[in-house]
Amino acid sequence: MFLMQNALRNIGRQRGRYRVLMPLLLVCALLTGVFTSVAVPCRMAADRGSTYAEALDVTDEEVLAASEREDRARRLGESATLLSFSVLLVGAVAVLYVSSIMIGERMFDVGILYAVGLSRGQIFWTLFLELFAACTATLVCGLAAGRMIAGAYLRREIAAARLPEGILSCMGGGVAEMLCLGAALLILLIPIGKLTVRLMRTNPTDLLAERK
Amino acid sequence: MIRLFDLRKTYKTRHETLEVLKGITLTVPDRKFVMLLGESGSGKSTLANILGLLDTPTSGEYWLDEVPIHTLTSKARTDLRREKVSFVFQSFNLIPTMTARENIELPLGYRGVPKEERGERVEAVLREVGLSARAAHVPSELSGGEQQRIAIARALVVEPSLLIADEPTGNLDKSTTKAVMETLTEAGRGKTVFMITHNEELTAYADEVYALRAGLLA
Ligand SMILES: Nc1ncnc2c1ncn2[C@@H]1O[C@H](COP(=O)(O)OP(=O)(O)O)[C@@H](O)[C@H]1O
Ligand SMILES: [Mg+2]
Repeated sequence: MFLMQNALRNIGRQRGRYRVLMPLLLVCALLTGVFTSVAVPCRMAADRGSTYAEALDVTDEEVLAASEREDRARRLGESATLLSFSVLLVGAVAVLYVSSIMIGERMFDVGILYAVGLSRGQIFWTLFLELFAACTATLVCGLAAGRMIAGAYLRREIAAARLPEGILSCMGGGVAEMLCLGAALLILLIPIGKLTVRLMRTNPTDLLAERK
Repeated sequence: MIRLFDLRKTYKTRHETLEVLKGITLTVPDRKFVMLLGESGSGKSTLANILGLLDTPTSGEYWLDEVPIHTLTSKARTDLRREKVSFVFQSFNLIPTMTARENIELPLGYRGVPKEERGERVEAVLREVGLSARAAHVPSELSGGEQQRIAIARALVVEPSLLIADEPTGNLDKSTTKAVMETLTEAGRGKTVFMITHNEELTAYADEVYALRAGLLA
């Protein structure tokens, strides 16, 4: 319980350190959210094929327009998928980099905590909870905002008759976004893993000496 | 009670082995203020870290209150350190983002002391070091001497039986050194205090004085 409180308080205090990590994560999450939320329904709608064309009471023009819309949806879906993957990749590298630096900076604090009498386990949980809470909150916000933006965009395109109407019903319950969240948090495991290894290996007195 | 018998510590680097402690034998009774003098690089910190259970000797025996420390596992050593030992360092080592009060409270929180008792104990120890009025400030707003007294308060709030002070006045000028030494002797009464210094004037505060030279006690 004290661990939790302390982690949250630290996030508030360490604004300087999170000023880089948080916006970076937020932007990545936002872009990923937008692209994923566009890509998934577009592709699903396109894959479902042209049931529309088989209906008898439509004119040729309408059929043509419908298949054009589907084409557009397919193309949009493909490029959005590509974009979302590349953003995810860039974001992953950036997050990895920044969080490693942050942990590096915190090694001095770790030395203090050790000298003050915390066990390695407690130190690990302190840092882990702090990073995890900060990242999860940011990612969830970013992805949710991205999804809203994507929804608005799709609705506008439908209103302008550039995309098939059924597309919004394919947006789903946000499974794709949850997968993105999971992937991003998995990436976070790498620096945390490195932190653990470092914690286990180094002599605490060296950590305190480092700063001088 | 601290008893050391033929304690040795060697550091192995890639090119050489450095023998820092070459057989220390020493007995320190309880509740004494002990000072250790010695030149820079003579191994004072190494000895202090071993006494404080942060580090382990390469060979030799270390008995702390009749417990054979040299036979303990790392986990057991950490537990014992938590129960018995506190540290004060030359560079204060306060967490810069926390206020003085929060810095002092930190070790209590992690030991599972309930919130109300934490508050009481923090205020008591703040009074003891005479800094109640400065408790809401972060370290950068305090003078060096005040920071060190806060660090002493943080060390004492967990009621250790052994206090290790590694050059606590190393970064301070003359008048603040006096204030810190007074705090240390007053607040450290009833505990074993093992203090490192290379200021020979401070030996007046000590019950016993040792010097470390060429890896041996003199
Ligand atoms: N982790 C280490 N690895 C290798 N050599 C070390 C290490 N720690 C200290 N030393 C060496 O041991 C000697 C004594 O260091 P230290 O105990 O810090 O001296 P003091 O505190 O008296 O200045 C120094 O020569 C230092 O370079
Ligand atoms: Mg030293």
